[in-house]
Amino acid sequence: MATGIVMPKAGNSVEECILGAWRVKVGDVIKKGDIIVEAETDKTSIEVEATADGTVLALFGEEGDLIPVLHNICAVGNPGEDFATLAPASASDNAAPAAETKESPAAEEKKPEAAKTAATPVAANSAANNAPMSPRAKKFVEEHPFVIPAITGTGAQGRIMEADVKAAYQTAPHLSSAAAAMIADGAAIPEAGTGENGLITADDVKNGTKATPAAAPIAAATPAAAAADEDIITEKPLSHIRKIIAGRLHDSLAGMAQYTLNTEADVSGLLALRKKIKAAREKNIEVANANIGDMIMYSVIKALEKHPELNGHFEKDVIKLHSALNVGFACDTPKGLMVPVVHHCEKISLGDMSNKVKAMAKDANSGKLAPDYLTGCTFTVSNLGAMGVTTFTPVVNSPELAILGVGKTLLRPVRTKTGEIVYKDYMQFSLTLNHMIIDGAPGARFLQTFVNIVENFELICIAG
Amino acid sequence: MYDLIVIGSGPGGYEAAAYAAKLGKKVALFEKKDIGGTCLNVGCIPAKTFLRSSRAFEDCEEAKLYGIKNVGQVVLDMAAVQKRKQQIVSRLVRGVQSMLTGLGVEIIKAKAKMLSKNKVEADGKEYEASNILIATGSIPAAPPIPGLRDNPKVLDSTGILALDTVPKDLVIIGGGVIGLEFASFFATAGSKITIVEMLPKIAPVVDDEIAKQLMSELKKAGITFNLSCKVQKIEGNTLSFTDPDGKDQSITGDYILNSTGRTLVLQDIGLEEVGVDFDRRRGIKTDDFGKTNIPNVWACGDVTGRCLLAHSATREGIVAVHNMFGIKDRMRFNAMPSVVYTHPEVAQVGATEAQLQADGIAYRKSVMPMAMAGRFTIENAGKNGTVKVLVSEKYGQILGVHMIGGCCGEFLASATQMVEMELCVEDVRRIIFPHPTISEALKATILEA
Repeated sequence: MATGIVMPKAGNSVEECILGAWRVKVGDVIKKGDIIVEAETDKTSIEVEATADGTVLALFGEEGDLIPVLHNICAVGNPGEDFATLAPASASDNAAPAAETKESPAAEEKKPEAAKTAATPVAANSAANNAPMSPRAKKFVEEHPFVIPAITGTGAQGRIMEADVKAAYQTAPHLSSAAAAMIADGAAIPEAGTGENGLITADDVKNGTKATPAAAPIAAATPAAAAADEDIITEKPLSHIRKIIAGRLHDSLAGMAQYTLNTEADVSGLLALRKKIKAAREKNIEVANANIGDMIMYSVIKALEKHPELNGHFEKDVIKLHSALNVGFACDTPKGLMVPVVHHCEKISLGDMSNKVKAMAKDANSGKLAPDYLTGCTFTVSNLGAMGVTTFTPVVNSPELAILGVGKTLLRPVRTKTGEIVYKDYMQFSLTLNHMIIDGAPGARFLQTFVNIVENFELICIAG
Repeated sequence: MYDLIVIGSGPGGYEAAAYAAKLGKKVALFEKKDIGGTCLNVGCIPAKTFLRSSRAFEDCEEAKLYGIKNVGQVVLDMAAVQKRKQQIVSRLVRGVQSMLTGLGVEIIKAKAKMLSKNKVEADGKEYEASNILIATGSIPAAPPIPGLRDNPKVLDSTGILALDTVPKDLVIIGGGVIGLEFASFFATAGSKITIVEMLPKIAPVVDDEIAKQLMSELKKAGITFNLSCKVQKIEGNTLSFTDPDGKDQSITGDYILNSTGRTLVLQDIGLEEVGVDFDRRRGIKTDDFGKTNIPNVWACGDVTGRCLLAHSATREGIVAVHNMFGIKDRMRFNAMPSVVYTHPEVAQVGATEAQLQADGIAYRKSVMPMAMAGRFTIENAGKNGTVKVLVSEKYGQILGVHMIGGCCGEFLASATQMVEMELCVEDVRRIIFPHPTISEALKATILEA
């Protein structure tokens, strides 16, 4: 009997994944453990392994399809075996099967309009929206036939909320009831509508009405513009992850009054400690391999303990402060920016912190970080000092309240009590805050505490 | 320099002028006769005042059906009907005039002629504008029937609206909407009406099934129909025609109403001089945006020959104004409502059954008596009414609504929205219709489709 391979549940918070390119095709013989396809959540990517041996009989979905977890994506078995029962129950459950054999069409209805008009979920959903939708957003979409444009979800993890689809509905082309029924039947969505306010009518669907050229066709036809087009060397749509990043960062700046406080801290203590650690490890003394970055993260935790008002979220006019210190760190990966989160740092030791950060950064880079480690962040640290950046303005990872930017270490001349000039190492810090919630003074107080911790790091460690 | 010059102040022109003024534009409106054009002065409005009087007359005659006694001898006083008509027309014309002035539209009572695509001449003065909207409308047609022209016994719609007596015998050439409305009025008022129509059916724009019912209702009112008859000549007050068997017949009336259609006003407005593309019978060529072939010259209403209805003219004018000032809009004629104000009224929107058949569109139909809505029986003792709905076979999209009975034109707007928005049968199930109203018959008929 044929066996189904399901989209694995990649984490507690993951409900759907986007199929990447198939690594197998119908007819291939595969073994348990073979990678059959890559899949993306809204945060990371996973490799889906075969959970059965046999010949690939059918692939249920193609690259870019959004598949709910634990739904069949593939059928394996002996050639010729029936796999109809493994196919997704309906076209909306999964995307159309990529195998030769099509799933059996739903029984013809006698009075098709009963199911295909007002009660029919709109099929005009453009492929652009792979992010999960809240149930209310889904309901709204089902009840309002319109051509859904690419929507940047404002919910947690880019989830598309009701407000997002409502906002999109205001500007997107609407479909007449008759047009929606035709599209649900498989007709192509026309580029434009000729009905009232651009309503896409049944005739538009029939005729495949094209969009009228933009208002300034003359400008578009000028040689300069044409030349500019010729200069484009690549053109590719944003990846799912990049789309999420783009939407989030844009929304962060658009929806928040952000400002940045800059300061610096004497890190000679940290540098000395790092030297001691290195020396100790050379002598095989068992000590955590904490580097300067780990120490900064640890200092952030210690400072947040004293300033819980910066550890939380602000969403929909509600400030939520968290007892858990879930500190994220921005990480440059081949897929773009990711923010792995070290959860529950309340009782963490410097050694544990160091180990966790290193392991997560490694996983994030190889695209293997479990999605659950990318959620729940309450405060973020972004370190660009190692890349030569002196100081910068980080963008708050919405809905968080603040983000700490870590810059380069600069040598500063300092006059000692005896009047001598000595050179000391000063690391640059920039704290971006949501001014809607955190004013300048509390922000500055946090920085003071933080600098104090950094400059007296060893003592703080001893104090626990 | 005006943003817009409008030539003609009918429902196409004056509404466009008012709307452009509302958008903050500098507008001049030229009118050679009366503000309001045909519609307000010698068309829709006066004709409907006549028909309201005949309905009052009918109500008195049928009073006992509603439990009213001692009504006495009912007499239609044509002079008083005329007076009421005149009062209503004057009041509405004054209303339009003060509305326009209030919005800052400059009204110029003069015959205007285009000199170029942005210059107009009137009374020897020249006026310049960025846009010109031609809304000159139409006048009653005078076909080349021997003895029709310059015959004091032959009236057109304008002439008959000025009668202050009820003719004993009235012969009507043309069984179209205009002829039928006057037939309905004068029949109630006591005239003996004979209609001579060239086509084998009356009201050619009306769905066949409904037109047939209308004819039988009008026959009940005493109107005689001579269909498929060709008018040959008029001598004095005698009309000669050839009947379907090829026999020559003649009929005499106190008056002969010429209601053979309308001629578009295309002459002497500068179309040739400016190079505007037009056809003497089909009018000025416009696209769905109201544009003519000449940039900045626009046209709306009867003069475009696309649809000779006041509300179409208004909408075409608004579409043109939108497009001339950069607001996207497009004229669509598929959900064009039309009402024939006979007693009973006929109201329709969308495709007729014959059109669907000709276009090869698969449809389902539902026909139900209007009396299924309780209010219809309450309001129309002893009368009939019908609702006919045509929906697409596959999706149940409402393609046409055709009604006859009572004042069904009053809820045609609801059906118009359904056709315009392409609602399907199941959508209408979700719309609440007020109870008890005659419109419930519309919903019930749709749900049966």
